[in-house]
Amino acid sequence: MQGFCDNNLAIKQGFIFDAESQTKLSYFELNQKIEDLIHTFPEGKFLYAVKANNSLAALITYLALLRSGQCILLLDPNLNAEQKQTLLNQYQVEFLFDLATTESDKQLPQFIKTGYQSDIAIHADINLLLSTSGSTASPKLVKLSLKNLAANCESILAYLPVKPDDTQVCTLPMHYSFGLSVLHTHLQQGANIVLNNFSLMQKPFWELIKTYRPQGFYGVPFSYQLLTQLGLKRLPLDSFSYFAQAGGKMPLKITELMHSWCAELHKPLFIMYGQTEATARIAYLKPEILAEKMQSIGQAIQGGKLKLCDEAGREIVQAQTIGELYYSGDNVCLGLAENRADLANIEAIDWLATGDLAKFDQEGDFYITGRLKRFIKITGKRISLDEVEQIFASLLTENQIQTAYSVVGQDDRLLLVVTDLLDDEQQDKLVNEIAGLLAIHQKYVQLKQITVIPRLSNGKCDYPEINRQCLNQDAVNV
Amino acid sequence: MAKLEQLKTAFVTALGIEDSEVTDSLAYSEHAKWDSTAHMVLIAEIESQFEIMLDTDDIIDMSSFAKAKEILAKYELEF
Repeated sequence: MQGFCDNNLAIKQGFIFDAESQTKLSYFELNQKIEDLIHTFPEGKFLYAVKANNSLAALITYLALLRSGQCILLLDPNLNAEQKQTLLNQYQVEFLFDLATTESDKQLPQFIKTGYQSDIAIHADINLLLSTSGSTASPKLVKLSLKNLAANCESILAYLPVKPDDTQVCTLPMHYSFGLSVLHTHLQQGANIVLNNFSLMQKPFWELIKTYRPQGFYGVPFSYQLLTQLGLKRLPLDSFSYFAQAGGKMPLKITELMHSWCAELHKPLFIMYGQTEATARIAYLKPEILAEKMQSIGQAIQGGKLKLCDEAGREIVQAQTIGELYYSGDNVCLGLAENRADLANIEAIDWLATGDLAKFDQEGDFYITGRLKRFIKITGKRISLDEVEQIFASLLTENQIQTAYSVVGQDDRLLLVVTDLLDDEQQDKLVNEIAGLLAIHQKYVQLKQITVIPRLSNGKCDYPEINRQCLNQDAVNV
Repeated sequence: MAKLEQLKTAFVTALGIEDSEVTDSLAYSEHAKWDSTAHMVLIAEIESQFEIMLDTDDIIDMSSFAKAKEILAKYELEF
């Protein structure tokens, strides 16, 4: 059942190669390392934080913790010391694997005691905690079970052509649910996995592609933007037999470019939809109908169901009617956590509210039309506008700037809105600090001035109106 | 000489860093601000500053400031 982490790994045929340490292990050896590491864990169920890049040490650690029924918190290795400490404290994490440097193949990954101890026992079903927004280091985490992971892995393998003799060169980090799902499916199949942390903009990445000739390419919209900018015809992409995209809605222009190139070479392109709250994957579009349904996310994965509800919570049965998208399936998480106490219990979620607005066509294929919640994506990173607004407020206070403020935006465009005129120096400072804190490029952040922050009758900010006024300014300036 | 300043400015603008940080040892993935997004912005900046079109191989090979100078020499730009 959980072939991606259980003892069956030992009989699989492929290899795992760590490009950084240049270490190669067979699945048999990998399994041995996992068993050896499990023997070093103390008795009982605890919370282990794992801060790691893609590496063999990280993979061994993750699989050993999963197999022995521990609870794992996967941390983005780019978190700064303060963000890391906040999470460790909030969740009273007992043990920490800090695998910042690639460990040698000889010794087993080491963990340390954090000093935190909690009386709050972790629910038996909670095995993995993932962040939905790596960038703002929000302490909100998704609670996942081994059953969630196994169910999603199985559903994904029901439609993606991952084969035992495939090779996968990682393109996504393992602390990200999409990246993790790629690892699970390839481990399940016993495929070859080349772990690395290079970006598509680095030569060593393309050398790995030329050497290992992988079959599947997995990317977020930003990855495909890079591929198309670098030039599809000029990159060594010939070994790839399929392409898969998730992690947000891809700009139509890029989908069209990718589609026409893939169609010409008879390589399927899978447009997929998912959320960490559903482990990773929720839906995908059959590649053979991509040409006619370029903007669609298709239908639910095997074992899952999608539905739309109107504002009153009634199910929408009429095609082309917009409502909130709900998903049901064995991969739906056990709820969200904000602190250690939330790990004591689980929530039974029959229908997961995705926060996305969608419609479906006559054939039952779904289309995302917008977002209910105030989230945007910047180069694939999910950013909560409400969280940024809070950060912006404290920055204004710190810098002794008195002004009304708000934060709005669209994908790849974050707008900091104020009502008072700020000098250039103040503007640059605010933009740079926000970009720095969110770890995004400053070109995606702009400061806007409007006369007054419009509000609704209930006193809340009228965000659509603020957005409209900012966009109008752009139109005038052009 | 003016070209070198132009190239330095391109790095400062694209990566959002200080003048003093632009040295030969400035390298991709070693400076926190030089990631794939910044790299694309940098390429666009260099292409417009010097009115050239960089080859794909050169784009992914431009892994440090020193390397950038070396690559741009192929485009008949002397530093």
